Amino acid sequence: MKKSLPLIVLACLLPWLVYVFIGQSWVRILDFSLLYLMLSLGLNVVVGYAGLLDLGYIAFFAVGAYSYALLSSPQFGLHWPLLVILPIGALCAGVFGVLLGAPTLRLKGDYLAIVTLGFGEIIRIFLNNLSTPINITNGPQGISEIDPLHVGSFVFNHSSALMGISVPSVIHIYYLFLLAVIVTIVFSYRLEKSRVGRAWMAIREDELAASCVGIHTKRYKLLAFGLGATMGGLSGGLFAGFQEFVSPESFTLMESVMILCMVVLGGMGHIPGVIVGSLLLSVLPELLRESAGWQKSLLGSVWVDPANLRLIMFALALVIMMLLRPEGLIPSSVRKKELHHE
Amino acid sequence: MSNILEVNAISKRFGGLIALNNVSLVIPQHSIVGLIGPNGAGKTTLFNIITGLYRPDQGHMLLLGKRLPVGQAHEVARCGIARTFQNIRLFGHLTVLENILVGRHLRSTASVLGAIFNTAHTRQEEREMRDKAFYFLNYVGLSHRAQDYAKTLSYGDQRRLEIARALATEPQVLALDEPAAGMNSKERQDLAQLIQRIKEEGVTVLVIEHDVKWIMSLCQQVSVLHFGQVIAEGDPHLVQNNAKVIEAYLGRGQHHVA
Repeated sequence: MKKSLPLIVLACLLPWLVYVFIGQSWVRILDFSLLYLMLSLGLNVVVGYAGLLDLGYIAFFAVGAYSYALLSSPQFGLHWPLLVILPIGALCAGVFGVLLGAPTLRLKGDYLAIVTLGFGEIIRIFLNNLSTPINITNGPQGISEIDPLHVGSFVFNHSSALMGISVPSVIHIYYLFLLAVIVTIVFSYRLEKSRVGRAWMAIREDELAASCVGIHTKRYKLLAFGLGATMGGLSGGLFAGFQEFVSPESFTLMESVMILCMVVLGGMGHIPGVIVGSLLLSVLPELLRESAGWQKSLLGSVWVDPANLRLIMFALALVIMMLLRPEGLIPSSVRKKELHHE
Repeated sequence: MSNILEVNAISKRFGGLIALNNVSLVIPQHSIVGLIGPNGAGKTTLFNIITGLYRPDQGHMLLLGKRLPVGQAHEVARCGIARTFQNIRLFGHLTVLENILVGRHLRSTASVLGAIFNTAHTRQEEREMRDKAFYFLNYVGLSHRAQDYAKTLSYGDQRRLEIARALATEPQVLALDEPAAGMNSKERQDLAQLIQRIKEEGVTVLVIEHDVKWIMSLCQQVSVLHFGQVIAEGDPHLVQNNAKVIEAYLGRGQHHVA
């Protein structure tokens, strides 16, 4: 805890530094990277601890986001308070996690990945098409005019004035998300070091041996799916309130893959690794977006479309990573040993 | 002496192969019982059925007179049967200590909520678990390796860690599947002593082994499986001289049919 104090102080000062020296849009990018961090921590429970390869994780994010959207927007005329909807959204996502987990308990590795991938797509397609016969999700148009994140009369999405200094909305949001992230990290860490976390890791290592020391493997796998999904649902709710708009196109397969990359890049099952991985992968693409300007000034014209460059760099980074550091950027010492001394 | 485990008329086939045919065994309490037989005799299959990894086609088992659940390994473990594996199955990327802590799973109760809120009960239990885990590590002489990854242990140490993990569940019956495989004679001797000690603590031990000499000196009772059937059981020395057993191991002598 003592070691992380400077980090927490830095995390608290960061938005102000970024706001003053770079600009508001980059604080917004930080906000998003915190959301991604929450998602990666959630997926880390499923993939990193329990060793269940989930390629449809974004579906739980979607469930959380739509739960928030439906319960606090003109869509149904409901405007429930944040502190009620967030838990409901997380719970809904958790239920979906268990629903996905139950039929896939017997599957492993690639087969599980395929089924979860399908599940992710099914959720997205449902969201796209649940506008008829009864309009629930408003189809591809998505749901707009969602209530902003607010507690009482304080609205996070609006700027406020504190002792004469105006605090921009993105910084409010940053602190809200930071709080959520810190809570998630503490919970993940405690789970990792607990009886439950050890049971998951035992299943990851050797399911058969785990069942022979009395671990109810089915129950613990469902638990991993459910808890991971709950974390995804929570960040989904925050996302909906932050954007004040949700539509199915935010929840594509690419997003699931992205989050998986964050977990793998940093170092599966190891919280510092997951943090670094998700921050890198959510900030780097934005940096590359700026590359159009650099290309122009260096080469006279834009040679490679920044959007394509992003993907190229991404692919390259992952390939190089897999060749040079398959254990992730900041691996747990276990995986390092495993991958380099055999 | 009463019987702790009774195996009654167990049969198991895999497709056309009859792996076990009407096998019955009686394991007396506080004893070391050997299960021997040539390769493919069905020893490991029987172990897998007893410990709930396979579901038998017929027959049932009684542990202290109570029906043992079939085909549910975690339930069998809960009832008090722990095992090791022929090809060691440790949690290689967990530390030695963590392997034992996983073995304490049944003897602890912390739930998800207890874990994430780090309640007083959870912390207390965690401390007790660690103490207990070190007791088992000391028992097999591995406490100095507690923080190393299980994968990095030597072969013999891995075998002992696997036994310690099984013991950590505090079983009534400990089933060891070829624990002496790949060991030299010194290691075999140490292992025999360890098994003897475990028995003296009141745990009944069931051992599969190929080394007939080693098992004869260790066990009070031996059962011989051959082609899925029990062909002999009882006192090791009587079994050793049983004609059927000799035939199973060495083949039939040449008989000239007139």
